[in-house]
Amino acid sequence: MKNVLVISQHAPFDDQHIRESLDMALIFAAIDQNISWLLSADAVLALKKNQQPELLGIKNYFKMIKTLELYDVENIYVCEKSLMDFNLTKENLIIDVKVANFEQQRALIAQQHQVVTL
Amino acid sequence: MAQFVLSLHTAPTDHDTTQRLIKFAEACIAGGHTISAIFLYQAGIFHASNHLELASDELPVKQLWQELSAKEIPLLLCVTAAEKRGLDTQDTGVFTVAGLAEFAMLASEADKWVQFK
Repeated sequence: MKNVLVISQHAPFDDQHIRESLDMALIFAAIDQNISWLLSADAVLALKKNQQPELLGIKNYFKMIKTLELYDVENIYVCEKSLMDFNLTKENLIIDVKVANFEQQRALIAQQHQVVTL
Repeated sequence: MAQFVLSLHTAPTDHDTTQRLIKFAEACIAGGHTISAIFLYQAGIFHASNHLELASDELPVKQLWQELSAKEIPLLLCVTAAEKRGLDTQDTGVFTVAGLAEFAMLASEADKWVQFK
């Protein structure tokens, strides 16, 4: 089993970046790899509560994010500094995440066999 | 000797990224390494468009892919990313339509996955 990390840094409505990160995380879970997902910078907004993408005519894929746990994607990390930048806390997010500082993010990346930034 | 998978995330207009991938692939092969797949993902899928017609003084993207294909490196195209972008997956030239799961399995078996973007 390989440790695979998906890193997302794009905002939730910026092209298909977050949707494709989600697809990638789910597919590695489906083939029984040890998958983690790290969201930093604008990507943390993808986990913010009360998003209403329908108002923008954008498909609501946030529901899929909530199902991650069902598919055994439990290692979801959020950059501590990025949360602070947007004045968010864990409680403002739609799923339970691990908040990681820079040192913890470095350690996380060092543990991986494969890292992909989407 | 190492086993690589490469993924390409940018459109054919990104000449530098395309050439970096191709040069990296050639260097891998020359160094005796193996490449189990080059995978087109995100905007990279447009490399498999059958509508790609470039002026003769532009980077010959199609020709570069044909040369790589001749080296028997599997050239794969993500079907989900292609369908999301409305690409015609009936005629994808030297690229073979593949699922994300197929690529994920190759990436899990590889020593190194290198992204080009």
